[in-house]
Amino acid sequence: MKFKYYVLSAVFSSCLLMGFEGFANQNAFNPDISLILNGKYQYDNKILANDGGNFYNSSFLIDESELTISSSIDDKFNGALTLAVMDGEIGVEEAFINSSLYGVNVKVGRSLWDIGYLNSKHPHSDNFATRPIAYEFFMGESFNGDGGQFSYVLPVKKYVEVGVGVYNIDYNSDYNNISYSTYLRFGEDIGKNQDYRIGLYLLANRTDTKNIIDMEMEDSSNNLFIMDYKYNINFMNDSKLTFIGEYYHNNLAGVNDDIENYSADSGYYASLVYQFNRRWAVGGTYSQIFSKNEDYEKYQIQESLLMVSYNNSEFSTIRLQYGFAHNNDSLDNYNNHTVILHYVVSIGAHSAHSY
Amino acid sequence: MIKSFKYVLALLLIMNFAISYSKAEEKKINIFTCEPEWAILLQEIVKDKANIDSAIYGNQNPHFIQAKPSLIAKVKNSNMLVCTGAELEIGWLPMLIEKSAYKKSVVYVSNYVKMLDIPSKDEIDRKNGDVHPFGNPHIHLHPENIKAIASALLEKLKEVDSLNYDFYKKNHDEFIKKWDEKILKLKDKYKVLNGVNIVFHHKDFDYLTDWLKINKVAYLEEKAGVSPSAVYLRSIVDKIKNEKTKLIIRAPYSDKDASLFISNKTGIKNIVVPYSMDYDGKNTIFDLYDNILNAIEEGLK
Repeated sequence: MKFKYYVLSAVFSSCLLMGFEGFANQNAFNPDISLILNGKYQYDNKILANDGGNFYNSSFLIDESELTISSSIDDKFNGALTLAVMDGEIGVEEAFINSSLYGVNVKVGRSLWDIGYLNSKHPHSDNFATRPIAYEFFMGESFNGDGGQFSYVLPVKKYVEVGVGVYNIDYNSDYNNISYSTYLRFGEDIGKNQDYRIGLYLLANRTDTKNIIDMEMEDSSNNLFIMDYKYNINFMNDSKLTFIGEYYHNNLAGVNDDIENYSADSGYYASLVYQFNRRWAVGGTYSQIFSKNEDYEKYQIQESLLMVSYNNSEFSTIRLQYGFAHNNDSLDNYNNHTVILHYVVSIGAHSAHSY
Repeated sequence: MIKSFKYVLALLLIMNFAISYSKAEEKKINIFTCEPEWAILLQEIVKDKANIDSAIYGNQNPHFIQAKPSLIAKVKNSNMLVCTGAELEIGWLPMLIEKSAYKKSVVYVSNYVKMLDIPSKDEIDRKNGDVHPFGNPHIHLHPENIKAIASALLEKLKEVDSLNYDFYKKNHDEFIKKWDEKILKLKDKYKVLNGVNIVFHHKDFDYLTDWLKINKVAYLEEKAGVSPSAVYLRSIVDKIKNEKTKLIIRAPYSDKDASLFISNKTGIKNIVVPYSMDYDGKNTIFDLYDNILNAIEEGLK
C-alpha cells in the first residue's frame, strides 16, 4: 500500500512538473492543472446529555488536497480527473468525459452530479468550512456514483434546464443497486442586480436482492426529493448578498415489507452570506433534520454555523467558523460546539465562478 | 418508479411546448456580447437587422461575473457571441459555453488589436497578482481598437448573416467615417491631457492614457486584481505628492477606500470615471468616449 502510494505520488508530481515546464515552453496542448491545498485548526466540545460526558478535542490537520487535470480531448470530448489525496490514500473524486450532442450535454464516468445545489460543488468553493448537517445526513460526503447524466438547457428566453441520470454507487456482484435522477431548474434576473435559480430534483435508489440468499438483505426502494433555491443581490464594488437553501425529503421503504418498515426523513438548510467587498464576507447557516431512531422515536438535530472569511485574492481564503449542534434524540442526546480556523488556496488554472 | 416516469413525462411535455414556442419567434439573428461596449459598437453596424444583448451592465466589473442562469439562456439562444477574450472572461465565459452546449460563432475581439502590457515569461506568476498572460484586456478605450474591431465584426457578420451583409457593410463604412472624424475632434479637444499626471486605481484606463499620452503616476493596486494594502498606499503618498498629481481616477466598480485614503493624505481630488455604458439601444460608442473624457475634464477643473 505504502509502495503504491509512493509510486503514484511520483507519477503525479512528475505530471505537475511536466505541466509547469510545458507552460513555460508555451505548449498550448497541455491540460489545465489545478491544485487545492487546505488545512485547519479545529476545536470540538461535545456534551452528552444522557450520561453527562464532556469531550474536548483540539487538533491541527490538513484536509484532503485536491488535484484536478482537465482538457479538451479532441473536437468532440472533454475530460477531467480530480484526485483527493490524504495520508496513504488517493481517492478518485471525479473522472469523467463529457460532450454535447444536438445541444444536449452528456457526462459519463464519475462526477459530483447535479443533484441539489451543493452536491455539484467541490467543498473548497463553499462559503463555509463544513457542509450543513442536513446535506451530510441525506447526501453523505457527496453523491458521486459511477454513471452518466444528460442535461439540456431549453432554447427558450428564460433559463430552463432539465436533466436525467443513472448511477451505481455501491457496486456489488451479488445484488443490483441502481440510482436514477431527474431534475428541472428555472432561473432568471429580477431587474439589473438580482438573480435567482430554483430547482427540483428526484434521486431514486433501488436495491434488488434476487440473486442472494442472505436473509439480512432485503429489497429496498428509496426516493430522495430535493428542492434548492439560490438568490443574489449584487451591489457596487463586488459586494453582494447571497441566499442558498435546500430542502430534503427522503422516503425509505423495504419493498417486500409492510408499512412498519416505512420511514420518512426530512431536513433543510438555509444560508445567508454577505460579501462586503472582494476581501471580507460574513455568513450564517441554519440547518435542521427530522428523523426517527432505531426505536422508531422521532428526533431532531439543529445546527447553526457562523463564519467570517478573508480572501487575499481569488486564489486564497482564510475562514473562521463557529458551529453549534443540538440533537434531542433520546438515544444520542448531545450538544456540540465547534470552532474551525482554516485556509483554502488554489494553485494553477483559474477556477470558474460557477453559479 | 411510476412516480418518476410521470415526472419525466411532464418534463418532455414542457420541452415540447418550449421548442414549438421558440420556433414561432422571429428570424432575426441573436448576437450576445460579454461586455456592453461591443453591443453598442455592433449596434452601429447591424442597426435593427439583429437582436443584440449584453451579459454585463455598464459599470459591472468584467472580471467578476457569475455564470448566472439568465446568461446561460442568452448564450443558448444566440447565433454569434462577441467577447473580449485575452482571459478577461476566463472565470465565467467557458462555463456559459459549456452549460449551454454552445457551438456557434465566438469572436474574441482582442485578437484584432495591438495588446498593451504583455508580460514577459518571468512576470507570469500569481505573485504578481492577477496577471493577464495575453496583455491588458481593457481594450475598448483606444479609438483605433474600436475601428479594428468594427471591421473584424463586419467580417464575422458576413459568415453569420450573409443575407444582410450589404446593409452591414454600408453601416460599417459610414461608422468608420464618422468615427475617424470623432477621433480627430477628441484628440484636438483633449490635447490638454497630454502629459497630465494622474493616479489610477486599476489598469482599466491604460489604453486611454496610451492614446492621449496621459502620464500615469501610479496604480493604487500594487498588484493587479489584489485589493490595495494600507502599507503600500502609505508608501506611494510621497511619490504622488512630489510628481504634482492632478487627479485620482477609479472605475465605478472599484473600491473607493483606496482613492479616499490617498485623497485625504495628499489633498488631491478623486473622481469616478465611467468605464462602459449600459446597452439600451440609445447609448452609443460616441457617448461613451464623450462621457469618459468629460468626466476627466470636469475633474481637472
